[in-house]
Amino acid sequence: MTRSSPQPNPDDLDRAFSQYFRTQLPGRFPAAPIPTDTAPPPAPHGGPWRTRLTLAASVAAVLALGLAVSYGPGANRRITPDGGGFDPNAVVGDGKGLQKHLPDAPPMGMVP
Amino acid sequence: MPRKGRIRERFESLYSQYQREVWALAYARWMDADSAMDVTQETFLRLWKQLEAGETLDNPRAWVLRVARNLAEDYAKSAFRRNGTQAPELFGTVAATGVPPAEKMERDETFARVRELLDELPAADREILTLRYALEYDAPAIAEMLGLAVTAVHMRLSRARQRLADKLAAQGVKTSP
Repeated sequence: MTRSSPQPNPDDLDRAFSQYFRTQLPGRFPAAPIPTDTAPPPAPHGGPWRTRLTLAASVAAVLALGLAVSYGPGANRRITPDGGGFDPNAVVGDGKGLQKHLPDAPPMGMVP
Repeated sequence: MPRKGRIRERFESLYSQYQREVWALAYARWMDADSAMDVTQETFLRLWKQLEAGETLDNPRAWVLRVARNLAEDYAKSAFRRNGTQAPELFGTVAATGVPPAEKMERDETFARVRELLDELPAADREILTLRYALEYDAPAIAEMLGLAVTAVHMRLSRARQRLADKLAAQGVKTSP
């Protein structure tokens, strides 16, 4: 655009407008704005009773696992008195192995 | 096809058909490309809700254009409140492209002047100019979209161009190729 002519050439005017609007128009529009689906997923086959059954089975499995850990073969593991960690020799099913780490028990009837 | 799939298909078809027209109307109102895009997205979000709610739209094109016009008004008012003192068109800038700096500077100056002049036109004239030059619609297409007579479009287009030419002449400016 230059300053001189009293009246712009109509073709120049058209060209200027075309160029101007072309720079403004987005070349690519974003994808259609479809909201993400917020509806809950459809119930699994079998209906609500099956969901409850699955939940109950899961709870039972967790409880069983907890009991197994508490009373299973590893349940008698003890930390050694010196704090040095697990003593594999101290793991004895009948508890006798603990005696070598424990002080002698006082005779029956005596108060320590 | 399930109902949701049919709605989606129809919605995407309407979006691809009318997104540019909606953008053009919103742009013509405030001459701000980003605001126009926001208005476009919001317009189609509302269309989606309409379709999802099972509303029947006899003329979806007229519906989206009317919503876009209303939203453009609301958008400008809310933007005006946020900005405090200036309407959004005063913040708009010409989109940058990969042209040499000297050319770009000259072009930006031309564009700034064109924009300044467009701002002074009535919004209805800007709509016609935007459709004519941004979407390259001819007079019958503009007339159909805006619900005007073709002669009225010719007249308003001619008048708008003449006004701009007069203003440019008054500033002693001519456009260069």
